[in-house]
Amino acid sequence: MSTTLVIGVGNTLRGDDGAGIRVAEKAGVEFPDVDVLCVHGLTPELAETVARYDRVIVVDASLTAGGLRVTTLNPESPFPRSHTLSPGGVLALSSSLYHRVPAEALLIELPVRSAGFGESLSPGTAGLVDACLEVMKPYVTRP
Amino acid sequence: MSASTITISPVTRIEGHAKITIQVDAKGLVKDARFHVNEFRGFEKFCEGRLMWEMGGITSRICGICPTSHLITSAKAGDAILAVAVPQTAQKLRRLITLAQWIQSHALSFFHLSSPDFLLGWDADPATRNIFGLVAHDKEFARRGIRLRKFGQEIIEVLGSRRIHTPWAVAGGVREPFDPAQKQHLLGWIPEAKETAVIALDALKKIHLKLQGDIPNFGNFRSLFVGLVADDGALEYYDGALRIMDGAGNIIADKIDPTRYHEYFGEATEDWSYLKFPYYRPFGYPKGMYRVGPLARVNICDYIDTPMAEAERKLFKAIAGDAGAVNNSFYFHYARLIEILFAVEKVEALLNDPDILGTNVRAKASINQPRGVGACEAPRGTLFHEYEVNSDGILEKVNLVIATAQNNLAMNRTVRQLAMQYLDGTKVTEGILNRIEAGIRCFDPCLSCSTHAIGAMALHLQVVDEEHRLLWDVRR
Repeated sequence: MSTTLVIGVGNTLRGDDGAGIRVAEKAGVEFPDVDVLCVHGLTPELAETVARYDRVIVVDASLTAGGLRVTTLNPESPFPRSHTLSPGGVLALSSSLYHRVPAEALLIELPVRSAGFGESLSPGTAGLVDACLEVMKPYVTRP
Repeated sequence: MSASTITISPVTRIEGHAKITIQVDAKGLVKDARFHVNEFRGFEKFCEGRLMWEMGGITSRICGICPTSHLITSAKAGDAILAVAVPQTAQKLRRLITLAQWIQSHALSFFHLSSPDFLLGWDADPATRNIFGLVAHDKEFARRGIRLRKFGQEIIEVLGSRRIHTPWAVAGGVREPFDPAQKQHLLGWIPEAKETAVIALDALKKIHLKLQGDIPNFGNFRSLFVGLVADDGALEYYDGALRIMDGAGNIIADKIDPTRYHEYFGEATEDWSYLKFPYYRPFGYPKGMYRVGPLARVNICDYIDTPMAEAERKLFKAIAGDAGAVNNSFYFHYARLIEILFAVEKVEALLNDPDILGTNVRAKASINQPRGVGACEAPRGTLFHEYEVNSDGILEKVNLVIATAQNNLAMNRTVRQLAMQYLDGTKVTEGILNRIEAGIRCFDPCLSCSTHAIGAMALHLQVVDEEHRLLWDVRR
């Protein structure tokens, strides 16, 4: 099993909302040593999976990100209160239920410029996919 | 005080969006209460003109919680249009994924959505009455619930290559055979899943004692019960014939071919809800109110063909006593947990059945019938898909009768009963509002939406007078 997990989040039928999935799929090709998981949303069941890895990188689309946004993740405290489970909420569940969190956890967000029906990314967001992989590279190539 | 209306919107921790309005008269007495479904999807209409073979992929996207049930029912409607005999291996694999759907959906309903109310209390801080609050309250119970749901999802992923919206089942069978290498992996989950189901049942029995003052008010009325049963009367989930039982436990119709569902059930509409109101035709609307889902299934079957679940069914039936049927909607939860236990036992049996390893999993044919009806037991109740196609397989008419809709009349009756019991028109506490919402959650309604609110408890309550002037407005 790899020590690094890349989680792509989004809906590939809604334009840029699928950007996280596109990045994760490409990461699986570019970095064959990482495990890749593509999901529509973050759910409590992911906590157990995440707890098994040393490094986790969550890639998602964001309505508020102006460009590529990279955030270091920590378990949220106190527990999140919304059904919209955040990456930090997943880590909080990992910590609480499985007593382990990845040593490194990162959230990379791509901006949403168009979320209409369609399976392609807008040119602006598509142009950031490779930049995402560059951000990931030092993490996923580290032993 | 003038006559007024109280609105609870959105109703939280259900799948989809809805609101509840409670009409109060000048004396503060509840006159009426309604459960409104205010989202519109329109699948029946926009599926027209699509190819019949696409329907599995399209209808599985009706919902992010029970896509597998739509997929299987759609495939069965397609089987009828092709007029093929589905290979035995494919039939058993379809059964396996249907059971997995029950496990993951029922676990979500009980552990994630409903148990926080029971374990943390009706009056607990709304912000903590969710799965995270459950983790803080009892980590091991929450962890077990999350893993039980994961087990169901794992089976779906193994069979269908993805956890939701898999297009794996098709008219005539399934796309891919079962990977034998996955058999031991899935069997490895069984002991823990059984143990979790038993632990949940024990916890629920304690909850029954703790809430014995409230339970009699939770949708406690006679209605018809409808569901599929096997030829020998056993609990059924994939095939079988329709059985209709009344609230006294009398079987009033039996061995009904599900393809004739429209002869027995009509669909009424009301101008205040997008959710239809199915009813039993011989009794008319709204007298023909009926309930489907776990409460109905465990009520109507003669027995369950797995030992642990059958032992629980006997205890469940004892609740009915002389009434003949368990009529209280709160016991949906009990029936749901019995069905989880049944599903886990049945999954174990199917995984050990050599037939599932066959490689002949799909019968192919062209269009042979202009009409096809598929029916199966979704987690929330009997689901029907009816398609009419032209000779090229293009859909000309689609009718989908969803389980949640079939409980619509009973959900409205439940809301009314709870409002009448707890509201006196002068004070509306958090605990009262949550009891009313919890009445709806007994039915685990799935309002065809994969984005929903849980735990946020964003209640919006309004009191208006007879002239609809706003008297009171509270948000949380």
